[in-house]
Amino acid sequence: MNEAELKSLWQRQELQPPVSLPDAEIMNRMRQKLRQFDRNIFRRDMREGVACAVVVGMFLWEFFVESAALARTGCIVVIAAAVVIFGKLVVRRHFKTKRGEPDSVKEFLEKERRKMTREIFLLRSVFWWYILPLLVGEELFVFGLPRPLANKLVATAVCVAVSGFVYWLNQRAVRKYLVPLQEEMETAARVAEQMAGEPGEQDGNAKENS
Amino acid sequence: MKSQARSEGEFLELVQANRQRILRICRVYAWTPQDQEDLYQDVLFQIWRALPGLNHKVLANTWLYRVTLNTAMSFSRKHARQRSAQPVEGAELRQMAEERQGVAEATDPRLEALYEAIGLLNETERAAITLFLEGLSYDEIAGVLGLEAGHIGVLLHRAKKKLSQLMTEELA
Repeated sequence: MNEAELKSLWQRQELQPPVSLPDAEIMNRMRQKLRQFDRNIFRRDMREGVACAVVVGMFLWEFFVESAALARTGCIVVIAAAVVIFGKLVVRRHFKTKRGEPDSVKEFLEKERRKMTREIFLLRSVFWWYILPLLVGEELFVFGLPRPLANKLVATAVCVAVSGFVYWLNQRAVRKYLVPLQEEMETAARVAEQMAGEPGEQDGNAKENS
Repeated sequence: MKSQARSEGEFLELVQANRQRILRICRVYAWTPQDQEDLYQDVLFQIWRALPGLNHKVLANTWLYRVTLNTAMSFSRKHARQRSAQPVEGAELRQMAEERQGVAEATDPRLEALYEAIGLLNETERAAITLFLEGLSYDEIAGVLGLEAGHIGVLLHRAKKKLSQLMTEELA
């Protein structure tokens, strides 16, 4: 088959929309989807905001109730960590959102690749910006409290176990899903770059077609 | 309210005029009828969301292909990721193959071979050849892909060569 036949075969296809809906129903679905989309973002931000507010509220209360300097220092560290984590997760996301002309495929792939690299970096470094600050604050708080050593050790063991589990979950997500995806994106971007970098062997139809 | 009605009208008009184009791209990037339906809905939604950014100085054609291809690529990657995370069971695999077979029986075998062959190209080649088959000029393809017009010839030359080999194998 030559190119013209191939093009004609392609363009002559009469595909049926999966679901044939009247215009009013299509618009209704779009509005519903948009509402759902905005609601999901709002709920996700709310969940993280509420979790942050609960931690801040609890430790703020402890700050005023406890008199031990070490415990109060722990409260300040936990509160600061919760605010930083909230900022990192939510505020950053909102500043990045913009609407305008859609990206070209190359720009889109590049943006997706950068987004993926940032996500991998964020999850790989989760120990430093999420687990460690909270753990240090909690431990200062626990050891500052006037309680028997055995209780403090049990509380420490629980905190370490939870932190370890959170760390394991994040690293598993990186290994299992994000790294393979990043490799796939990099291959696609490399192929695009290679192709864009070799203009020497253009086919003879280039001018004719453009 | 008036402007919302105007944009709804514009959206419906755009979808109506380009339905076949969108459906063809959905078929390139989604394997089963169910996936094609989901992708079609996603594309419509992204067009609806991106509509305020449609600059009328830019060709609506290029704009539409950018939105559709970007959505389709994201969809295809997300689905590949989900499939690799959840191995498909034997029964499900059979059902997918039957669904695909059902689609294949209803269409021209050359067309089916063409879709199969396009599915085996890499991401950039796949996008370029799809746009070529859609009848876009080299300049328009360059605009959608974000590559220089001078490089499109090379890209298509390779893609066509691969496509021809793959189609010969598929039809043999």
